[in-house]
Amino acid sequence: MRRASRSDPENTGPVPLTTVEFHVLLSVSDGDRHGYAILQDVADRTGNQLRLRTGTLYTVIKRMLDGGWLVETDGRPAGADRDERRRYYRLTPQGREVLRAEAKRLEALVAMAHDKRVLARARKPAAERG
Amino acid sequence: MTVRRVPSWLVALAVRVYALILRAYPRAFRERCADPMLETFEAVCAGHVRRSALRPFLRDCAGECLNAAAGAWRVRWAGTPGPRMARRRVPAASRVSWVSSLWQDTRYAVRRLVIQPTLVFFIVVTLGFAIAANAALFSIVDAVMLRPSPFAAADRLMNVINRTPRGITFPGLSARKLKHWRTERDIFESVEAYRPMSAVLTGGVEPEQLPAAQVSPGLLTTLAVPPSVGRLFTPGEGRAGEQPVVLISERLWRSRFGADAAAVGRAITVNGREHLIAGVMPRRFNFPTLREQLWTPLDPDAPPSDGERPASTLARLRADLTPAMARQRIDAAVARLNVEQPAPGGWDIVLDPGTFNGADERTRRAVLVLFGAVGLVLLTACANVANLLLSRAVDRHREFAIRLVLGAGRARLARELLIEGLVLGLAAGAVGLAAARWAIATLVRLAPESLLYSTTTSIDIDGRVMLFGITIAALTGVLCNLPPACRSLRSRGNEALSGRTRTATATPVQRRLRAGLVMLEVGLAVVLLVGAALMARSFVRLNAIDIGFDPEHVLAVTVGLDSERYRTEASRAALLERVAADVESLPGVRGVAVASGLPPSAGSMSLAWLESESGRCGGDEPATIVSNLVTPNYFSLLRIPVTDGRPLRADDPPEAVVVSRAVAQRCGAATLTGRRLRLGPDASWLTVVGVAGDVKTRGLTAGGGDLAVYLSFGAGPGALPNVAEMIERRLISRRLVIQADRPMAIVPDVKRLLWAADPDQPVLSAAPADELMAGTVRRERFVLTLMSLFSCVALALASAGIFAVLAYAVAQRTNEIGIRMALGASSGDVLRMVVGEGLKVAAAGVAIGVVAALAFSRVLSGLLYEIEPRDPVAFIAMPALVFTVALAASWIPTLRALRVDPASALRVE
Repeated sequence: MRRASRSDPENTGPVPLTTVEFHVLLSVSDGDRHGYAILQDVADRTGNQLRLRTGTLYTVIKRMLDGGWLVETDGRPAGADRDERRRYYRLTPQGREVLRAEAKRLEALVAMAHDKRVLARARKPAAERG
Repeated sequence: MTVRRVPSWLVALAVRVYALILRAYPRAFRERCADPMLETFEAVCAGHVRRSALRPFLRDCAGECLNAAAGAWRVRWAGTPGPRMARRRVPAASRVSWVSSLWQDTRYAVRRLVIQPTLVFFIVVTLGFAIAANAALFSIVDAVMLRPSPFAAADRLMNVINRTPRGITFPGLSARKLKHWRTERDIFESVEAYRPMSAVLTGGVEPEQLPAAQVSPGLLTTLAVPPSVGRLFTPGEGRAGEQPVVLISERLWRSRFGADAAAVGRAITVNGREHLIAGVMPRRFNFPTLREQLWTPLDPDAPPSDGERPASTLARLRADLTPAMARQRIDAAVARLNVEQPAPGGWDIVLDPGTFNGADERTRRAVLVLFGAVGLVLLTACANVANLLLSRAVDRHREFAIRLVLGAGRARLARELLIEGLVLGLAAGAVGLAAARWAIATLVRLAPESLLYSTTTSIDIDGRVMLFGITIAALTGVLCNLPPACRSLRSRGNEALSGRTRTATATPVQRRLRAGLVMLEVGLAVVLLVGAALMARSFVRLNAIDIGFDPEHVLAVTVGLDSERYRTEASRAALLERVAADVESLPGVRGVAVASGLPPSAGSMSLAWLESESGRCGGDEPATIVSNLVTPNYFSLLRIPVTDGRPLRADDPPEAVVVSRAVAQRCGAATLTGRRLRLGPDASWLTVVGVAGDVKTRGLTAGGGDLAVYLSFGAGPGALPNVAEMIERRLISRRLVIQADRPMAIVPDVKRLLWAADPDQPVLSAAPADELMAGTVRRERFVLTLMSLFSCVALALASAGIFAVLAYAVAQRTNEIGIRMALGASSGDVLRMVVGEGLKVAAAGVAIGVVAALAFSRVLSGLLYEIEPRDPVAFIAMPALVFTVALAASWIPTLRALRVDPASALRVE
């Protein structure tokens, strides 16, 4: 598959986020969250369709921390926890930019699908919007 | 979902494990994320604890741990690129991606295998069996041939064997000779004696009999194996009047004393006498065989007593002597001694490297033959599995074609298949090694004495056997998947995608490859079958040898009579004859005789001159003479014919004897009846009252009958030569020879009657006489049993292969068959076509197999008795058997072909 993607013209611009990355960014978009809270938020939002493992989550978090999309915050909600090891993650403006770009990209893709009448059942809401 | 409490210790354990896994991450990662990760994992666990969901907890924990481990791998080897934009630009061919794609391939292979449980089960069982058998035999090969001896400088350890002027050799030096050779310090560092014995441990619920050996005190220092606890024997121990001591094996130490170091110094009762435990010998000390559990000191100066063979002798050559120099010095000493102090049989000795440094030639050959055979089984299993995988590769053909078109590399696809093979092989290896433990125990139980004698180290699964097992497992796995991998490299993507699915799945190359594999299987099966048939025919010949007596329905109960409690032969006779009369009244008992021996150990052996009144019989050579004390009914009970004269009678005087025909032949007399004989110049004269048929006692393959002298039971020992005064309390073995309808069923009754007469009387053994005789061909039986098993497995695999290939061919040619039938082909034509194909493959395989078997049988020839290695019966019958099986395997595919409905077959087209 790698060979196929190398010739992909999209490679020159921003690359699509993975599902996991998108969901993690989404989780922290409306407030600081710690690791377990992110896991639960993702599971809840997807109706348990996507259940992240700790290892996967932190591989992504580490990458985002290094990339400047997330920061660890020292301010914790008062009395919320007593565990010294717990970290909260906050979306940086850069991270929010990436998330917004990805959401727009997805929106554009979905719109294309609508135009081609791929989403037979969902045609109605699309028509309303138009 | 089951709701069960999650135990807190399990949570703690899971957290521990997880923390351990986290340490695999690189330091930079750990510093930033390890703490929150662990905290998150604990929160996940806590969630399950709250919900009391044990099963999901376990599943999740396993998942989390694997995920973390995989993450560590990925972070370490695939690097932690910053933003994703950068990662996509990493060139695909770098080492990093090679490693991570290897990981991907492995996971993919495991997933592919998991979804085909039946196939995987069959493959793992087939290969697992072959690997188990190979590992088990390797453990024997390793112990018998490869591993260095546990004894220090084993190449200088020699068995000392007598050689008479006429070149006859026999082991065991007389006390006098032994004493002298010990003084020849310019040849030997030391000369020591040992003798296997039977030790009866009392003090338990029932007297327990253990294999044991008497060893002269210096022997243990000569072998140079230190005890694991306690001390070795000290010089002088073993002499009459010394405190009896004993060394015990580590096994006995563990089973009886719970490996308690304080056991040393404690007393145990061996053969009715208190012995102090001097020390414990380590596991690797197996002398003279694997079985011994006890060692008592032997006084090398004491002559052998009644019923005992002379002790075996072991010497250590001086370090500065080459074998040739040693030979020269021995020759010089022998020449001098023969003149100075003549002895029966002369002074000559030969040095035999024995098995201290490895096995003897015949045993090596037997082990190698079996190892070769088991290797062939492994090859057959490989061919079979390769065949299966090939048929599956056809199903994957389209998948590969698509991936090739999409740009996947051929090497990558081939590697994927090889990894799959590796995973399969290792799974089979795990199963095989687990089964090997059991297989080894079985082998050791079946193994002949001669093999165990050759083994100075223990036979067990150790690191080497593990390594061997894992290596062959990996190799077989890769080997099995090699043909499909080669195929995937040759496939052309667009061809497979062009929609001509039928041609895509049935290339001629493919068919030829599979037929070739089946041919190989058939060939290997033929080799193994011919080998098994040769062994079987040889075994039948061995069993057909006239042993001179009828062991059917005869039970031999050996009792050890304490020499202090039963001092005279008359007292021993009184006890046993009383017990015999009691036993005779048991239901189902047809007769009871008492004897000092029963073939294969028919009494006491002695080396003596056989003298008649007219002089020495058979020249100046002393001969091995078997003297057996028997009750008069011994001959009729064992159906030993008395051809000349009469059997012994109860009222015969002690000097009346019956001799075997071999004795009469040696003396060259037409009739010996009424003549007088003696065994050596010092022995008293015996009167021959009858001549009995020859009995074979020295193993079945030894030519000629024994020189046997039967004396009346209860006769004093004066008639026998070389009988020393009893100097030490010991057990004298005597046998109750019982003829009964169901021999083994009456053993408890016999024991009860014996203990009623004397409660402290140990029973040394109770075994059917035919089993005892069968013991003499144990090596042949061992090889035969294993060869038969292996050849049956190979035949089954080969027939499965023929079946699979034909079934596949029929399925592929359904259309063709349909068209043929529509055009008027009769069912006979179809039958000929399918069966013909099966037989073609079988014929080619048989041809290969017969050629290979000719080579293999030459290796086998050393193990055969009165059967030519090119025995026509084996070489005709076995290929015929293979053809028959091939026909049977073609049956179901043929039926399927005949059931093809021409109309529906054409409709598909």
